[in-house]
Amino acid sequence: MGERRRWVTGLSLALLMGCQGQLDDQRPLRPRGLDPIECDGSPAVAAPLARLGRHEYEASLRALFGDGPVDAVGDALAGVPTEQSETEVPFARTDRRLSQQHIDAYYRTADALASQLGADRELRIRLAGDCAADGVDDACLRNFAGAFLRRALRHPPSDEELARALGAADGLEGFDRLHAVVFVTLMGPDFLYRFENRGAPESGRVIALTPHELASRLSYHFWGGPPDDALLAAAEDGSLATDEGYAAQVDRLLADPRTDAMLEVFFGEWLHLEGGELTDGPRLEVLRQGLETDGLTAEMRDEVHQLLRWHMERGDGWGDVLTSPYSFARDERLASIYGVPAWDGASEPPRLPEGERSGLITRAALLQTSDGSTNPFRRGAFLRRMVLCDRVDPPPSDLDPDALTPPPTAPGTTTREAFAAKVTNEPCASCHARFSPLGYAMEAYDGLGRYRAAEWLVSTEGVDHGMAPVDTAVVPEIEWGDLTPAEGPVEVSQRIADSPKANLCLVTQYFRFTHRREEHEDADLCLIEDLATRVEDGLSLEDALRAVALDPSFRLRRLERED
Amino acid sequence: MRFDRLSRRLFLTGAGGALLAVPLLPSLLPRELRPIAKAAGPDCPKRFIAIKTYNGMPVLDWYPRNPPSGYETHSVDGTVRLSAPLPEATGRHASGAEYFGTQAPLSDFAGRDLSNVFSSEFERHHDEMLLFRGLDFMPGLNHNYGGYLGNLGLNTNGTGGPVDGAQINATIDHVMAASPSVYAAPPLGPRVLHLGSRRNTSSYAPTNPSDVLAIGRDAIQQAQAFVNPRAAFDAVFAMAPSPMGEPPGVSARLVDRVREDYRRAWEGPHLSRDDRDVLDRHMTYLSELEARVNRMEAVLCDPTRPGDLDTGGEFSVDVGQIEDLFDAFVDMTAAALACDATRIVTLDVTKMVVNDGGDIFGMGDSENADSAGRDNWHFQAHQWDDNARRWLGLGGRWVADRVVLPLLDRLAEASAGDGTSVLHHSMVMWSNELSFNHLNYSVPTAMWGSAGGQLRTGRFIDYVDHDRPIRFRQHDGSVVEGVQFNRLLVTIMQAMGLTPDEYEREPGRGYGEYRTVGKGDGFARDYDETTVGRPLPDLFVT
Repeated sequence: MGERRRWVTGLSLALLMGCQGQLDDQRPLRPRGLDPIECDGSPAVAAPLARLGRHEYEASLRALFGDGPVDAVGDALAGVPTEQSETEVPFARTDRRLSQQHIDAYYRTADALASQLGADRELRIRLAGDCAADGVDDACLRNFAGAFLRRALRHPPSDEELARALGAADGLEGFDRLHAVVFVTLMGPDFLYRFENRGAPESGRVIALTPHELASRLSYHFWGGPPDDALLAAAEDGSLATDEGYAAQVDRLLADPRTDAMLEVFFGEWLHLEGGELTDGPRLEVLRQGLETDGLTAEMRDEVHQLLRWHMERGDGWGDVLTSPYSFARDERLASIYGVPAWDGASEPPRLPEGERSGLITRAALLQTSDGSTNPFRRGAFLRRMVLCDRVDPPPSDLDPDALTPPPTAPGTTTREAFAAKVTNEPCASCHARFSPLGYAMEAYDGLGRYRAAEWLVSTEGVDHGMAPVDTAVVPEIEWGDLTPAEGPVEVSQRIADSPKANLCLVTQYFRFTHRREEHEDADLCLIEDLATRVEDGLSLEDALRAVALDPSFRLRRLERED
Repeated sequence: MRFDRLSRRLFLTGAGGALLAVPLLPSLLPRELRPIAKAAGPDCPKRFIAIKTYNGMPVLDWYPRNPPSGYETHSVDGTVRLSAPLPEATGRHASGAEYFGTQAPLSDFAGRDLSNVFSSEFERHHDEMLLFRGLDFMPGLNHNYGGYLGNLGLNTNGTGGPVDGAQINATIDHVMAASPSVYAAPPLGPRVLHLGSRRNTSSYAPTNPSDVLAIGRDAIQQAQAFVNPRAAFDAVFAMAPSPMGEPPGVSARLVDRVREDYRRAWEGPHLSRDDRDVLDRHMTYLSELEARVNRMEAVLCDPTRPGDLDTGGEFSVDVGQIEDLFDAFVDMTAAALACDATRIVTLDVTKMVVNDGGDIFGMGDSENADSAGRDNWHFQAHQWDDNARRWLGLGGRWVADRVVLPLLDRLAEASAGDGTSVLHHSMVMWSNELSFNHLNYSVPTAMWGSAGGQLRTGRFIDYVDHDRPIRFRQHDGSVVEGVQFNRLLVTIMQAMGLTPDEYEREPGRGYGEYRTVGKGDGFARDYDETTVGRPLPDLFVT
């Protein structure tokens, strides 16, 4: 997360004062009916060889062995590095680093799990059958290997694959033979990597995924784990290769709770919901006015996920999420921040106070800071960059470092006034004009996400400097050149929801999450724009997510630079 | 969950016992055979430990300001002025004039705190200490993401934010780790042990482990640290039978068989060159693993395994957790080095504790950078008001007292088997992300250990050319020429036994970006490029 911190910092502190270069408008959706893009349904860019991520690896082991054995090797598993995004794409799954640390941890984990088979009679019986209770003869070993490899490799093992695995046990005796088969399988390429190279050529340099490759792609995409029995069966009986069978499996996977968990990862990473815990400090101590903050940020994050889930279940679109008038706060403290009763999780959620708050971007989880302060530059840059997918560059490196010092809290001066005074000169002014107004509008909320008409000025040291009226009137310029003023965050929320940029951004971020890479400037435009247009036309959020998997390109792989 | 604190005495006992078991130490051989053994291979192994503290370190807290008798202070900042010139010139300015650094024996500072950061407790390690002033990064970095270890091409992000035109390369820890001078055979543990209070480090490994000198963003990947001491311990001692209980039940034959499976996969259809590169790397790492499995039984070492330590994620600045974490890292580092399980360690200190007159709180380099709290190390480094400057200095003092000093003590107490200490055969470098606000001049750096008596330690060396005009001052520092940081990197690599052909891409150019790319006319830029491939002046014992 340190790296994410770095660029967020570069964005916030830095954006304090100026930008390098120009803000590039994102490509707008193409005008309707003009210049249509012909999508041929093939993937535009080659997919790199995918290795199981840290969580995918663990999920795969749990599917093979169950929770108990995997929990028992937690120390070895802890050595597998956790992915972290190294770039401005916020998704950890784009991290493809491979190091000795990985291989060493795979080794320790595989050995520890394989060793359990020798030591745990019940586990042996569960995985290999009664024949393995007190010994392993050749037939027992062969049956175990066949079943184990089918699950571990996520396809039925070929005779050659089975022979190679069994060959690992040559010269060994007793349970060491089980150990050897399990060890080489868990360390092997077909377990740790998802190869998509066995399909038939489709056209040109595009191949179709085999049903088993497709089953894996689907399950790791939606669940972050391996295919279940039903999906493997669909791959083996041929139904997954049909459009109807494939669509049925997509529907089934989408409806599974494991998809909810994966969507929490997607939205959590995209919206930076993790981290940023409240910390003890003089300012927050004053501002919280006795509010118990232990566990509060977790409640804030949960509320966002509830919001998304609730609207998805009702077939709502992204615009509904961005303007949702409901509170999903089940925690009394968070509900009090919103000024509503706590939601029971079942009935119609309480409506937020009219005119104070509306939609996703006004949720406390997106507003809170560790010490209760607000930073309108950070908030504005976040909205511009993450919610609208407009580019915002970091500042030039040769700025006077004093320029990067956030303004102190002073009596009679609001945060907006103090920050705005820092960027009146060029090159700061013109750059900040593009994103800071969005943050100024969000000054309607304090660092705990509470709505305010006046700002309570409390310094870092906790010194009370009195109150000052908040000004949230801005020209948000959601669409470049649109100089229509807005009165505050509710109106800004609506403008964002009305903007094609918001839909395009949703689709772009989900594309990055799905394909584990940044979009190609030109090659991926077809798929992204096409889907964004459908979202704009009213496609529900759930259908938008479904559409990514239903797109023909999801079932194909482009080959490039083949040796 | 809090971990079970190690018994320091118990650990040292284990470490000492381990060392006695290391074979082929010349000191254990009959006197007449020692020269033969020494000529035949490395004697006492050299170790390198790199400690990095993040954000700004106040220069005025790092360097002495209380002049001993006979010393004066610089009028510009009140720091102690050194007057004895080094016998070897730093280089020549563009005018052709030679310039020299200055030095003072640290014994002159006995009986007092060396500085606000280095208390008088460090006096017991003065003989092994080098305090450097005037080590400058050449490119115009606005942050140091690996610069202190030689990747001087990145500004801000992990692999983003390159300095225009600057060379991006792996860091020297990984260059040294690949050298047979450091590891004649694969070590028991990882070649480089990365520890830290967050996962992403300031160390950069070559993407292709077989090409450590490759350059460019795609040629490197940011190394990840162990953030849990137990996980680190397990990684280091996995091959040692005693600390982990039973040794792994895997023979090298099975690892070799796995590698064969990768070779078959490599030959599969429809794989791109990039895909095959990934499989190549995987096989290289398997080879390393196999070699370590093969030597599993050759090492006797019995350090104590730390408990599981959940540090509350990378955002927590809980004081108790920070203290526990770094206590465990100190023990972990000392154990790994003393047992010779690894010879290179990096420690990223992204959290620290501040004791401001009894008001104790944690500071972290974290996502919380968006807020203006005192827990926000990065923010405070920018803030640089009286509070912030004091807190950063106190935090530096905490790192010195809680992390660096205990580590030095452990290494000094651990016998190297030749009558000297492990510390004597090591180089423990502590450097910083930045010096004064967002600048990389005179990056506060100190080092302990002489790599087996190769370096002339016990000195405070100031490479700043105080005769040069100060380009500008900022907060507590001055922008004026010192010496290229690259030369410290060359010094370290040569002390570890590397020859220039192992680290230079161009003869005589040392390591890392040496040009002042990204620095405008307003900066100090008049360095002698012809000397950049040499060790620091007057550092090696001749």
